[in-house]
Amino acid sequence: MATNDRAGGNSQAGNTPVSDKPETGGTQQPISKSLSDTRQELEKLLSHCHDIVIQPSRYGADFQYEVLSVHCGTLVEEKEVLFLKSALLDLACQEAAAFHSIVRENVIRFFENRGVTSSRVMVVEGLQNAIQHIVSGHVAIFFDGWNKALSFNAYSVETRSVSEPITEPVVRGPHDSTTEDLTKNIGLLRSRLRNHLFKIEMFNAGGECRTTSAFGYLEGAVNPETLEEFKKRLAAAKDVEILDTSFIEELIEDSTYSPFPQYRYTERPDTAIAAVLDGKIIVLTSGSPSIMICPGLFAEFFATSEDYYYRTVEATLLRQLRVFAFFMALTLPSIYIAISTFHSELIPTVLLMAVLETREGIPFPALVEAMLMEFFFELLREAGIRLPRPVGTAVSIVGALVIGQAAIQAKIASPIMIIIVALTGIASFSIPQYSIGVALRVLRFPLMFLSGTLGGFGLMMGLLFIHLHLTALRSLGQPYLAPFAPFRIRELRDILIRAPLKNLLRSPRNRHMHRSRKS
Amino acid sequence: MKVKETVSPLQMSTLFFIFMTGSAIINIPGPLVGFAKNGAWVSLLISGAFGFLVLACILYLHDKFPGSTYIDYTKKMLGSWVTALLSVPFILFVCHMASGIVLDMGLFLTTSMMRKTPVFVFNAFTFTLIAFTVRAGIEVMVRMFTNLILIMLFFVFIVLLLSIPNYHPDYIFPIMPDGIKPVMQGAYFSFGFPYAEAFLFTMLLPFVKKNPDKKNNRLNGYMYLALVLNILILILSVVCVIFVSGPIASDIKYSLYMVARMIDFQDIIQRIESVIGMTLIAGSYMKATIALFVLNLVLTRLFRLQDDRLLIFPLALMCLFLSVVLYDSEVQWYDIVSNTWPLWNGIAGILPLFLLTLITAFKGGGKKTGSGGP
Amino acid sequence: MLIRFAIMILACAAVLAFDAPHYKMSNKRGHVVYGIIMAVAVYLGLDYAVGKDWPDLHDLVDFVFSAPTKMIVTYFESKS
Repeated sequence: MATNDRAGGNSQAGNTPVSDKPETGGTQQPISKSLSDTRQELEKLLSHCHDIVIQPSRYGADFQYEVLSVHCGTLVEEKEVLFLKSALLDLACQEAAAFHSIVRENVIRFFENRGVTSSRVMVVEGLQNAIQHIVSGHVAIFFDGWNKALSFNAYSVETRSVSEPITEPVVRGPHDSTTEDLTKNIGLLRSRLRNHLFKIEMFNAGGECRTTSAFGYLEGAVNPETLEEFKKRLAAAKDVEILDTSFIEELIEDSTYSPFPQYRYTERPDTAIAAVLDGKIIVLTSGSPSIMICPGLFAEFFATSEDYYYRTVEATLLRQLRVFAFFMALTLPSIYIAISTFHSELIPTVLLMAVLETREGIPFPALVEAMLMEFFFELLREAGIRLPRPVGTAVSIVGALVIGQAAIQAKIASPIMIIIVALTGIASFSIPQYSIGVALRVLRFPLMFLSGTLGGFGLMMGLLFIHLHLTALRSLGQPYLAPFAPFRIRELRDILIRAPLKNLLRSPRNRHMHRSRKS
Repeated sequence: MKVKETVSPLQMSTLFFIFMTGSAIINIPGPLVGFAKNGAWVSLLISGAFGFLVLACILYLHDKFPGSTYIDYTKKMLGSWVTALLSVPFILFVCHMASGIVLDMGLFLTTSMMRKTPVFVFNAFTFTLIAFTVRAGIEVMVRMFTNLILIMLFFVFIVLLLSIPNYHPDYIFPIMPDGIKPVMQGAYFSFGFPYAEAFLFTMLLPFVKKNPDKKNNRLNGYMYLALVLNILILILSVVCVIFVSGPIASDIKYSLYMVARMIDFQDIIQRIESVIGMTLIAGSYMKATIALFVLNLVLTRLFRLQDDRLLIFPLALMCLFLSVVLYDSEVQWYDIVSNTWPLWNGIAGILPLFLLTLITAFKGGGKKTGSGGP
Repeated sequence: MLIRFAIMILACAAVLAFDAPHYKMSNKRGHVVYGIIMAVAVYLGLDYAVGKDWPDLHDLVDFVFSAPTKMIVTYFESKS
């Protein structure tokens, strides 16, 4: 029985799935029945693609029939090409007719009626489709006298093997991460959530790239309105080149200019599955290991998957540490500037003496000093990303000694300021999601400026502005500061504390979302 | 996704609570104790009772005219011209209120925290923030303010708690040393600020989500509860102030600030009055935002404008300039806030409210066609 | 005084710039109301800039209410 039908464009072997549906844009040029015409067309369309191989060959009793096989040499494995081609023709000969009476018509009728048992073979109509298959790693075989072509999957390109996630390592928990191969990634996800309610829908991006992307959700857990909204936005944004999942993020997000990210990223399958179980939608793109989780609410940026692998007390304390680190990273320089410049009475006297002593002789006011040090630190951070490894150690020594020590001795900065800047930097690294760290870096400077000019009042105004912005921000239609903003006490149980798993897993919070659960 | 501008009954009651308590908790105790001495809490009980009356009228009118604001049902019951006439003092009053609140905060900052900065700078920043908040809509406002009031109340309780070593409970006696008159004066003062200002909520109640089966019982219940909580918290605050400083509390305008100043806990937690300063800023900001929102709404409804965000910035600008111009002298300011305000409040807001309630009760309301309805 | 003037102009300009799209989209009634409010704002701004005490809301309130207020206050403060 032919097993060529696939559910919605998926494909079994490890490769990039190609949709069987015809391209909607542009007319499809039909494959001509004359092989020489087809060959001419192919050579014209595939001119200057030197890695695409067009091989004629012959079959039949007296080698009277000609076939043309086209494949992209860089995408397929050579022995696959030869093996499968010969196997196919063998099969065709044995199953279609007796050896000596192999006739082109029989072969054609055989393939048309899908008599082949291998599931990797498809029948393709239209020249553009055939070319799309060729550049996606299929081998296309054109028969003389037939206006369709055979295409079978021989994709084999080296990808990274599944390894430890680079940006999200954990101490306890699974250590696998996603790779650049879409099918492998989806496989990793499906093997963790073996449920037919876990839906994965694929779509092809537009433009010249035509990358395949997929989004997944758990039916019954996801909010139908959110899903509708997501699909609507995706439909409006599909016909551009998508090189990475973050392109999709920018195309469908609520607020492009907000410094705060509205979607989360992860490279860990367990985090993605936990999000799906929570009713979120995940998005993957072939060629990128990042999984995007939408919607992303503010409180979730402080959670890691490790929180659930630790016990309640440790997880709670770590979470609160991270929240505190966030506020510290955002406001510590501003608080220091405000207090030392305007409100010195707030510092206990002993500490005040120490601070004043260290600040003696510094020519700049606290604001300028802080800006200078923060700027140096940002430079160091940017440079550190692109450093080749041999130079890395040298630069960290340079950074520590030159900028830190020498600045103090030259009386450009005070030790307290260095401590503050370093603390701020460390605090901003302790937040799990990198994108929120960027928001902090952006917002820290206006806050410093405000508190340097207006003191505590300026800082308060700045914080109120940020609070206003966060309250008004929405992620895929959901209020960003939930459950703080519409104040739902029940849901706070996973935000500032991490309630024991007994209360989290079989809880009304999940129950009201899982409408059609049959477990 | 289109944002539906409705709030739940609980959120509206929270907003009401915030409006009444937000800046009152810092501003009331000083002058109140100045007027009524040890009987300040009795004054609060009296004016709180009036507050109940006002709230009852507001809720009654809301019941009779669901979904309509004050301007809408005044137009229905009394006609457009009378509405226009009545709305002039209303508008002037709300402008005055918004400017007054921000000016009060600016003066506080200038006198106590940062003396060299002109008041204009504080007011300008505040009004910018207020304008943007009003622009964001009432749903965002309620969400944001819920967070802020929780933090505020937390800090106020901490201050009151940490002041326990400074309490002298015997200061509360005698209760009414000079008879009932000072208590009545205190009641007059606290009626003007904050209880009579509740009439602003006639404009805001239509934003509550409609509940077809339960009518408005939940909303009514929550609103009364909010009022009760407000009275209790204000009484608590006043009583604590009396405990700390006795009848001389009248000399200091921001009593809770002074109470916080006296906290000296283990030599570490001292001089934390800046925290109360932050609380004052937050409370005033919230109240002024609600006032500007109501102002914008009144003008939009009165002139039946399509775009309800058009007037926000010019109104904020106007109130900003008004706030810097209003201040002529300390004495005049104090006089207006303490003595004239309740009367101004009553004429501009309460009198029309009572009038409308009576007329509605007489004529049978908007839902049924009473005899001789307009 | 010149600084105040400059600040006032800046504030008005900022508001006008911000509201330009909204203003264009609204109808004639909106334009009229906007204009009235801006006019009052400009008057008050000039009052602030010039520094002299031109008539403002306080004076209006004082004018209307000062007599009744005095009556009420004397009533309260008299020892009965």
